Amino acid sequence: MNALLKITLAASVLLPAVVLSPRAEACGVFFEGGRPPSPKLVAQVPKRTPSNAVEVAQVMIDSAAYATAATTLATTFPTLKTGDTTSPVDARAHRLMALALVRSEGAAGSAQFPTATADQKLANVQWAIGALRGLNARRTNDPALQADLGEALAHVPSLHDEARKVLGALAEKDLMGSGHAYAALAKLHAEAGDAKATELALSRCKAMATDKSVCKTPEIADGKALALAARS
Amino acid sequence: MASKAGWRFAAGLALVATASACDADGCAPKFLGLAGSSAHDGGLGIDAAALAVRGDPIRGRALVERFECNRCHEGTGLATPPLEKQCVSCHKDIVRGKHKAPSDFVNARWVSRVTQLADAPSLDNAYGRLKPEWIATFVRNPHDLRPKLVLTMPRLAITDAEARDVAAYLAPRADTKADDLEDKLVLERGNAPVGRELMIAKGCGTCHAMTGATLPGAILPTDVKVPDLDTGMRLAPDLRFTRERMRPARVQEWLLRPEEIRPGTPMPNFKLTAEEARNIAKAIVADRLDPLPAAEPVEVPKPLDREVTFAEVQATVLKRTCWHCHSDPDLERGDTGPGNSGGFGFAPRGLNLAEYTGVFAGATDDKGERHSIFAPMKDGTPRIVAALLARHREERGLPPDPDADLRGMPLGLPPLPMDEIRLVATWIAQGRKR
Repeated sequence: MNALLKITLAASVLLPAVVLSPRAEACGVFFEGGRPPSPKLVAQVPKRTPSNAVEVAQVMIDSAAYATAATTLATTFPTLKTGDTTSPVDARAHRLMALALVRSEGAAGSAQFPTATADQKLANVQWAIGALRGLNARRTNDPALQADLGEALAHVPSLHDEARKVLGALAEKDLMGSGHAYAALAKLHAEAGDAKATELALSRCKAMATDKSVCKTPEIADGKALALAARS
Repeated sequence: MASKAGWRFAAGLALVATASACDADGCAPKFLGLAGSSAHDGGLGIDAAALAVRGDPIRGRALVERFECNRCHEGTGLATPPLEKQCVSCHKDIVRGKHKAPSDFVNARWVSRVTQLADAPSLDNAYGRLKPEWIATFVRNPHDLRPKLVLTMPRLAITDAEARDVAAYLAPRADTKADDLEDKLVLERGNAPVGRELMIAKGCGTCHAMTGATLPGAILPTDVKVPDLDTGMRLAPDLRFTRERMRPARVQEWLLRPEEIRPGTPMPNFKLTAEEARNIAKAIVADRLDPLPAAEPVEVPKPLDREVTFAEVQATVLKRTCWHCHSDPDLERGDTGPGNSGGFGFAPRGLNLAEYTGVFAGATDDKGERHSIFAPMKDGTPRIVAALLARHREERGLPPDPDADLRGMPLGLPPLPMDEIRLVATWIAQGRKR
């Protein structure tokens, strides 16, 4: 047995145990995240139901495993890039793929989202922004979706003003629960030279992020790092 | 099921309405020309002035539809709602192992967890039992009427006038001079001490409580057939409130022929004589009751002195209680619950308590504006904690806090134990960390 096959086998046994959290507890929830992992050894990417794939991808994204999340989604939703988002599960798949692409700077690719060149990665981020705009248009007044869009916009310098507006409004009303979105807001505040607002956004980021490393202290506009950085 | 109930309902209402009919919306009474007219009254003496006081049954029907009473109650006269909106019927099927779940795994989980909301009192033929003014009061300010039923009537967003309209639809029977005479007979000729002895002998306390009076939990006589004792025990009302709910003569009538007045009722027929029924009715409506103990005030719990994680709050409170009505719009079957997409007359609130980001995304007010569920009330208590405490106030019969006009949560369910509210309050006080 070669090394690659061994790794694949080990991953197929261990990965479900890691990612299948018993989340589906309420009556009415139809995804299968609570299903105990199958003991069978399958030397391939497991075939998942759409709802299961969405939940697994969510856990992977929370664990910063963006490439694996993108592969899972792309495998289960083969027309994800061009398909519509009429069903709620499709909508969630779009949202998660967008987040995987944004947080990996466009590098969490698949056959649908090539990543060979910088232009392709940029195109992936742009697709993500378009997908998140579409989801926000479909479900207006959802701060969780707005925070994702704001975070994505913050990855494109020409869209920073819009990002600051979206994220700033959410933060002001205390409607943002994403560490990544607060990290993006901290960068935007730093860019504008607002050290106090940057520090506040970073503290919220640290309370909310599962991976605290996303809450990096940005340099503020005059080139100096925040005093907070030295302390933390 | 609803069609059958609707037929019975319509048949009963034919006493006072000019017509009843079945159409695509189900079988329901038609109150042709009712508002402002006396032509409909079938000679029973209803007039327009009385309607202004009693409410308009046409508006009442529309309100029963708006408040989706048929999600829980049979006998509303409305058509059966779609499956995802059938609360009681769905839960009843799960409890009885008849519900078709998406998979065996999901079914096993539901069967092990769904134990509540499998019963709600039927509104079928309410006119033959209940006082309209009591219905209006109860709908406006529900309280725990059935001590062995875990759930209570949810506190709806309903005005006094709307509550009167609902009552006029559900119980449109006019009070007549004959009713007054029958009441007088019960009150003047009934013998309460004898009635009380009869209640003990007949084992009324097996199912019923009578708060403030002595009603021993005696054994039911062996010759009495109870259609469904478990359901009967859960649905049996506290007899303390019967004098507010029913006229004395209706109590007597109910005791004599319950299954005729409300077919399918778990209330057994004790084959009483008219005199026995009158004596029991007198004991129920006129016997002395001890005053209810004063309600204890609801205190804001002090935070714990240990760290509380979101995972703990999620597992202990959000997933166990809140999620059912405030769920994720992407990942749920059905309508994601009345606390998210709307229902029971409530506007959609868009509140998703299924995940961390959703909890932070807040809820919309009546104008559609988003607010954080952590926003402090006037006394500094976070809004979500104040809502959980408000449910304790409701259950204790205390008036709403004037500084926090909130509906108690969980709606229609028992209040969360104070320890669980303390957990939520502590997590918030500690910075709402993930």
